[in-house]
Amino acid sequence: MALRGQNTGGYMFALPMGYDDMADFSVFLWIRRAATGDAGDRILTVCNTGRSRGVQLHLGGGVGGSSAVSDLVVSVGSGTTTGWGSAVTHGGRGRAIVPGLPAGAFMSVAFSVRGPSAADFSGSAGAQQIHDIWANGTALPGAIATTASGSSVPATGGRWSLLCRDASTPGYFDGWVAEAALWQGHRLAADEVALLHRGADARQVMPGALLFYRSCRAQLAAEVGDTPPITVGSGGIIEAAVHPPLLVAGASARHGQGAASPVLSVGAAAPGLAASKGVFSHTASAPVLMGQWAQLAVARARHIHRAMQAWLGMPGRLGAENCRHGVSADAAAVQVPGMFAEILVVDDETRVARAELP
Amino acid sequence: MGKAVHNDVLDGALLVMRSSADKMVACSAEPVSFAEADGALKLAQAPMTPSDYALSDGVTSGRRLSVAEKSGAVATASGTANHVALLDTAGSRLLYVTTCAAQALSTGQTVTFGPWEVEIADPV
Repeated sequence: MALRGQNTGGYMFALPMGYDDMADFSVFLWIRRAATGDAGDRILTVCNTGRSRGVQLHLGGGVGGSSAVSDLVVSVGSGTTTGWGSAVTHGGRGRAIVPGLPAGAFMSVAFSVRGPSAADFSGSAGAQQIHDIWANGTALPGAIATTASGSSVPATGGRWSLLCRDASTPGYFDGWVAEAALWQGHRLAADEVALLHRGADARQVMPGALLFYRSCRAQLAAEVGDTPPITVGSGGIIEAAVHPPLLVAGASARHGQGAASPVLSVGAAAPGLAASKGVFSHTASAPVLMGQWAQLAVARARHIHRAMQAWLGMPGRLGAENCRHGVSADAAAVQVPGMFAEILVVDDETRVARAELP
Repeated sequence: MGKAVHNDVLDGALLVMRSSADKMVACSAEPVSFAEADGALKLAQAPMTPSDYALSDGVTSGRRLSVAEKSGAVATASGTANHVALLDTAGSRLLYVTTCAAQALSTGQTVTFGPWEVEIADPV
């Protein structure tokens, strides 16, 4: 399934909540060009409210410094309302031209953009720079430059659009788009692009940074960052039979060792509860040590039993060293059924508790 | 007293798949028979050869059979794939079934089966 435009319509969408035009961002989508097409036809556009930052993907054919209609042109914001892709503010990285957008076959396109606040930003005046670009999973660093001609800037008003630029000067695209995704604050890595190129769902890559994702697999609604579409011209149609590659990955299986293998528990292994240089007190809701040997060791601490506190219900050893052991009124007795001969080992202190044996 | 198993013992099971599973299919539900996996539930398929499988030591322990990625498959039916199975077509056997993330497919779409593994651990 893919969104089909026939040079007669497209869609605009409000920018999702959280859009930051100063942030780094990355884009991935599949594009399939029909045999016909006009120079400058817009495929995807993201534009901030002030028309100063964003990105435009469009066909070449002399527009924006490209030579052929089959060129794919990517231009980013110049920091002003003119010269996207050609301004000196881009520091030489305002545009990428990818030759050979095939007619009748899908090509995946991915690119990342440096925001004007990025540490490696080498432009000026709030412009943006293309950082990396891939076509069909292959990096094309040589495609990044700044040309003499720029891409005309979208109309005022923040939006992003598919198959067109805006309602006033739409530049409708004749072709298909699918899996359009934008990550904010993240630059795609080569292995992520490779995964997307194989047909993975965009949500498998840095889902926390995904600002919008429209797969166009079944409907126009977005999986992430869904904002209502505004139909421009005749809009487009979802074609079920046309879609770029999809990835079906079987889940790896492990036999003989569960994902959460239980810890071998040995009943005779007494858990130790150790408190050092602190106050250790049983509260009213303290669990009862049941069912196994328990050792309560307190070193240099105050050990205080309060009313209704938990009691050691099983054979256990309570060792206290150099501390005060006090039992308040109504304190539970330390009941030790069984075999331990030594209940309290107290050195150099006043023992005021009385341990009772059943 | 320890427990141990020779790799050949574990490989014995995994080799059944390597030598006999000549088709990988994507299914719209868990198949319980070869007929289901290769019939009503099948959405896409890819031919497999022994070279598409690799035996190696397990990640944790034991032995592992890695199933290679297969690209260029074509969906033969429409539906949502949620299982992947390995089939022995000569013996009409459903050899292995696993799950996959739900993926809507339409007839004619290109499908890539991603790589996955089957691992049999050492005894514990």
